[in-house]
Amino acid sequence: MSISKRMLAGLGLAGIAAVAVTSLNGLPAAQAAAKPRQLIFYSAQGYDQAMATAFQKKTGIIVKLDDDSTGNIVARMEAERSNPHWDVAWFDGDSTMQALDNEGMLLRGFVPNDVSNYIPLGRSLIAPDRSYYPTGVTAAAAMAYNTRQVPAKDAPKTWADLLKPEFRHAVAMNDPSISGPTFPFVAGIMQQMGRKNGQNYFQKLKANGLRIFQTNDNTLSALLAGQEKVIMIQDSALTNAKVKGEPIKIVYPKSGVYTLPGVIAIDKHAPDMAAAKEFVEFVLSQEGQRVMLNPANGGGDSYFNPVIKGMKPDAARQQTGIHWYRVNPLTAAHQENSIKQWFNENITH
Amino acid sequence: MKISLTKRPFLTLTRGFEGLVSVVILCVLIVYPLGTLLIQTVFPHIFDYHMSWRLSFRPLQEVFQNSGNLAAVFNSLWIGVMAAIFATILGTITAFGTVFSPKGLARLIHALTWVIFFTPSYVIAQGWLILLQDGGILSQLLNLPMGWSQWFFTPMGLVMVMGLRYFPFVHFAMVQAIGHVGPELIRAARLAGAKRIRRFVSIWFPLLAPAWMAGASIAFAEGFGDFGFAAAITPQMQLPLVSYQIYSALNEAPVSYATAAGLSLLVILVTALALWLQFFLLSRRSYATVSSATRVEQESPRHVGPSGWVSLILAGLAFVMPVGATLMQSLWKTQTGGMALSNFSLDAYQSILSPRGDGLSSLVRSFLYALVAAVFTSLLALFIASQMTFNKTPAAKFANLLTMATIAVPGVVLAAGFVFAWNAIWLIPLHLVLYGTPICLALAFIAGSLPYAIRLQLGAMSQLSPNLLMAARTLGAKRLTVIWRIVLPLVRETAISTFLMTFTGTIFELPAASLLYPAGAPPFAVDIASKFNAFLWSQGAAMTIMGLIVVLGSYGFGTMLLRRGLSIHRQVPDVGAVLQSMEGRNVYSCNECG
Amino acid sequence: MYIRVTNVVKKYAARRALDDISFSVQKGQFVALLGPSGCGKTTLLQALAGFVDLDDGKIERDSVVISAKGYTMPPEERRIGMVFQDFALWPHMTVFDNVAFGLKMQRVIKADILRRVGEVLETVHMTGYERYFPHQLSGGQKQRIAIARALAPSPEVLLMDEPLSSLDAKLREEMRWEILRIVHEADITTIYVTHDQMEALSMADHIVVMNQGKVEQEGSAPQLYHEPASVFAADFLGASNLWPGVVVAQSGDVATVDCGGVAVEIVSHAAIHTHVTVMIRPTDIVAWKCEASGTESNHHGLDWHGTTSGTLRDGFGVDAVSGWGTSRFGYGAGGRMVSGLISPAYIKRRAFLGSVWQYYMVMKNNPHLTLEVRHNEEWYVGDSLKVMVPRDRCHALGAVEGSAQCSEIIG
Repeated sequence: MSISKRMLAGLGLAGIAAVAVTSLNGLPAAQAAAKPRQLIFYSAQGYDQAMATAFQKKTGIIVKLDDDSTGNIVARMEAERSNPHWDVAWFDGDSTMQALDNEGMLLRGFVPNDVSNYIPLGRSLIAPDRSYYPTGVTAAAAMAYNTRQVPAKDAPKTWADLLKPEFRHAVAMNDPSISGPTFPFVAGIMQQMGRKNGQNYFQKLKANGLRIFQTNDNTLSALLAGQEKVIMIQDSALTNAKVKGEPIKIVYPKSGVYTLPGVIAIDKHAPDMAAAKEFVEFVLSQEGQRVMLNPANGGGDSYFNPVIKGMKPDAARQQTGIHWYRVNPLTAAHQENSIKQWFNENITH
Repeated sequence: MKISLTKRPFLTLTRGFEGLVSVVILCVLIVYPLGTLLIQTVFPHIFDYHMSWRLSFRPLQEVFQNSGNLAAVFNSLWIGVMAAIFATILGTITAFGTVFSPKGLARLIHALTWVIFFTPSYVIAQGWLILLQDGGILSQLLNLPMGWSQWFFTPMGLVMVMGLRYFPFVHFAMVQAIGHVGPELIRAARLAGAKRIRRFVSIWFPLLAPAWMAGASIAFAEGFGDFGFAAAITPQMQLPLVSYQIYSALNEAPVSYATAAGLSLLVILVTALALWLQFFLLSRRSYATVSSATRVEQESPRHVGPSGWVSLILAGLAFVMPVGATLMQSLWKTQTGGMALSNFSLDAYQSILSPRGDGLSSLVRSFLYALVAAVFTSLLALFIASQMTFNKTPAAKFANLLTMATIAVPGVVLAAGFVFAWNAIWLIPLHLVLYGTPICLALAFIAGSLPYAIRLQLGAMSQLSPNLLMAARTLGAKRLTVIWRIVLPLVRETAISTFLMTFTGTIFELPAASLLYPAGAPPFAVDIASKFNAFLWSQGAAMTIMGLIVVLGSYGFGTMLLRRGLSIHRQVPDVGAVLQSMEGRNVYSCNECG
Repeated sequence: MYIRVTNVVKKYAARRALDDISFSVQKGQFVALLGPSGCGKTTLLQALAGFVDLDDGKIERDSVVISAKGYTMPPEERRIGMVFQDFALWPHMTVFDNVAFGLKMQRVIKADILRRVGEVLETVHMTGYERYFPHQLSGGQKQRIAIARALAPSPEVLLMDEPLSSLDAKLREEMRWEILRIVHEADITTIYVTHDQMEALSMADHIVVMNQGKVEQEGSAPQLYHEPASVFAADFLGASNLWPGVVVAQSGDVATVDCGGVAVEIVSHAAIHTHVTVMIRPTDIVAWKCEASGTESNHHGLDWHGTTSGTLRDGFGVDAVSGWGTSRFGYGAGGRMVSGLISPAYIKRRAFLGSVWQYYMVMKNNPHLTLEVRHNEEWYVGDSLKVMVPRDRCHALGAVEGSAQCSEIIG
């Protein structure tokens, strides 16, 4: 019967390994007894780990972070919708968050303590049903030109300038089907100019030789390599490049840039609702904002515009003279599919 | 007579019971999760917070009415077919190059092919991307203008890298099959006056049809449903593929699991059709080439022929290009710094290995997951495959069908199924909500590799004579004893191969890991993906290289053990075996297993 | 000389698979290469076909060198037909395609292919099987198709590599006749590899016995059977009684050999003290039962002395052996059969072979010496007998090389 012994030994070994994994994943059996408070936190922000650490340090509530791309976070939230595990979700893009709210997944009507601390721009970005709150805002796209190729006097000042012949075959942007921040930009143009004129604008851009790259990175490379003269991408990415010393200059058109807020929301059925609320309030506090604004924590994501009173953006970022155009997230969420499809069929190809 | 009368019902009962155990295991691990996903194609609301059994065909309608989806299926089909054809050409060349080359070169080609086989798709895809994209390694090395690699982001480019990725399937099947072709079949053709090309066209290629068809059909199935390429390369091509459609149904707002399920169903059906077609074509003829004649002494070739060199270049290209690019990227400080000496550093490795970095902890975590998954997968595969091979009960037949049908289920589909299945509200009163625990992820890893592992073991076991087991039974050994003492030693190489394959596969597994990992404890692949997502190319590349080192180290260690402890007589029994089982032929001979 | 093999050497690593092989084949001859497995016969056949490069020596056909050191005419140019051990029919082709393949290679026009395939299928009695696949045929039918395929392009030489070894015993007998018929009808030079001496003896005009890469002996079937040149050849051609011994006496052309206490007279000029092996075929032995144990008997009126003395000198006159005996043995001068061995023995084992009994007898004087005897009379284990072998049936083979070949049958 040495065989059954050996088999038992084998199973035992596997069992030990299983225990090892369990403990490594921070769910030791002892925890069930003591049950310290914990927060399941789904996020796609660069500074989320730093924020989790700061919050845990301050409150003693253990933060379990699931840091992933926005797409994966949303996929996961959707998959667990019948029995949600998460407490707080945080990513860029209010139209995406709005879609989740439309499904009734978010806690509505929650009012954080210091909601009065929001500057007007911030207040305008709060969900109408108070299901999510902005934590900061970036421009879904600003213009940037290569200073080695374009003298300051010839720099574009409005979106319409990009249709000029001198920028023929010299303008690029991202594909809204792939690049997360690009959809709010396209949706913003459509909302500000009207669907028809907006489509018209992009078609004229295309006629003028607009090039579409996959993501910020590719588009930026094209600008730096001198292949393009002007690009339109998320302003935090542009600021990040500028900080690194790349030869670019950022232009915020007078007509306005389109809001791309980072938004945070609480699960309607959050396992620990109190901890979730505490966390959101911490993020919106000055202490939390300072964590976000430190590029050592968030990299490029830290170059956003704060929406809380008394907070100053990173010095590298343009401080004044930005005209924000608020993209309506409800409309954008509603039109997302049709806009992406139209863009894909008419502009990308 | 009396004894047998009283004992027989009991025997059939236990036999049926064991078969049932196999089916139950497969159901829990695969059928139930897949079912929870696929059922949403007609009941899209059963996993809403307020569960509803409202029947709706809208998801299916959306899948089939959306012209984009249909175009995606069509694109995937023809790209899959082209990739399979290209892989077959490459695999055929390298297989002949290996067989007809001196030992040293043959081993090198074989090892390279083996590494490509083991390296996950998305690592290779990412590697090609790093190499070929604008501003990538190659454009910096050779100072190429932007847009030089536009050709790469076309269907032809995709077919090329897919072919270079999938040719090992054909290679392994062909190498083994070439070895099984009696040399006299070829000599007969030479004596009849057939020259090299004629011999290849009239004899080799048709004779090896089962092998290359098996390899090609797997290459097709993999290419048709591959997410690694879908996630890394297809977005840049603006050519919708069905795997990317599934990916975007899950990753772009609004998320639609019903659409993903409908598309998955389509993928499963098409793949099943391809495999069935291959079985059908092969079952019409006999391709028994294994000769019973005494073997004439064969000299190992002394000179490297053109096929040898071409094979080496191909295998080298398929491995060195993407992995070399990844390695170089991992050593660069900045993307734009280029080839300058000052741009080389170990910073990326340092930051990952530093106590603050999380790369090391996630690597250890994935290592443990891999160990657990590999132990259970290889044991379960051994048990279930034995049941299927030696107890021909209806349950065993059902299990056979199941493993065939699920071998091609895309990982992300199964993973999504796991979320629904193990987070379902009906599990709450049972305290069985496994989702969000490491157990759920480990189960998903096992489920993902089990069908493949079982097919592999089936291939190996089909070569065992049932008499070997009968002998043990007549001497009084119990069923499990027989599996442990007789079957396992005879298929040990395959058992170890399934272990290694599951192990290495799990370390880099992305879809299940990303959907199922317990919050706060990301596995290795998730960490890599998040580095690439954050455009930390160097760090992502460095982690990939570290993972590859662990995987290849484990593999080397495993094969070394195999070589030392157990006399190894064939270098690659495993993939050949699984492909043989795909060929659907049963060779009952025991001289293969000694 | 049609095919001439001269000093052919083939080395695999350090081993010499073919070690200085020379022989020749006449046009139209049926030659068998006979030897145990590993003797090099198959390698030699492969060399003839052009699949093996030579390390030394040469092979000529019609005075044209087809293989030599550093040159091997490719098999596809040799116009040689070959029948393989397990037939090697291409499983993916029909019978017709298999047989027509060689003709297609020679770009024969379609009508001629049809005609020729029909012709050879008729020769092998397989007309009507054109559309069958190999796996639908029996072993014997596959064999016939394999021969048809080899013959179809009308090759100048036909090589056959143990073609009967894949068939069962009964079919083997039938196909032996068939192959002979087909080969004679086709009138083709044939080289046939086998390890079965029955096949070689019954089919071949000329036999080349091979051992350890060397030619052991060659000649016609009767020549080899009756006058094996070595212990190996004798053993391989079915001799089972091989007694090692030493020449102890020599007079004229008769030598007396002491085989472990049993004296045997042979016709030989071997000098005293020479080690030889005495070969006696089981069918060359006369035996009869003793009336009573310990008593001399003149059962058939034959003059008999004890053999223990070792004083045999002139042999013994045998007037009339049994009726069958006279027909089988030659007689010495004066009409008397001269015995070379006469000894008491008893039966240790026996087996009924159908037409005759097979006995293993032990010599009374030396229980280690056994003798296989074939006889049509039935005796029983333990019976005491006397055995006698005519002197001209006691063959002496050259100096003993190792005693392994001696027929000490372990009871």
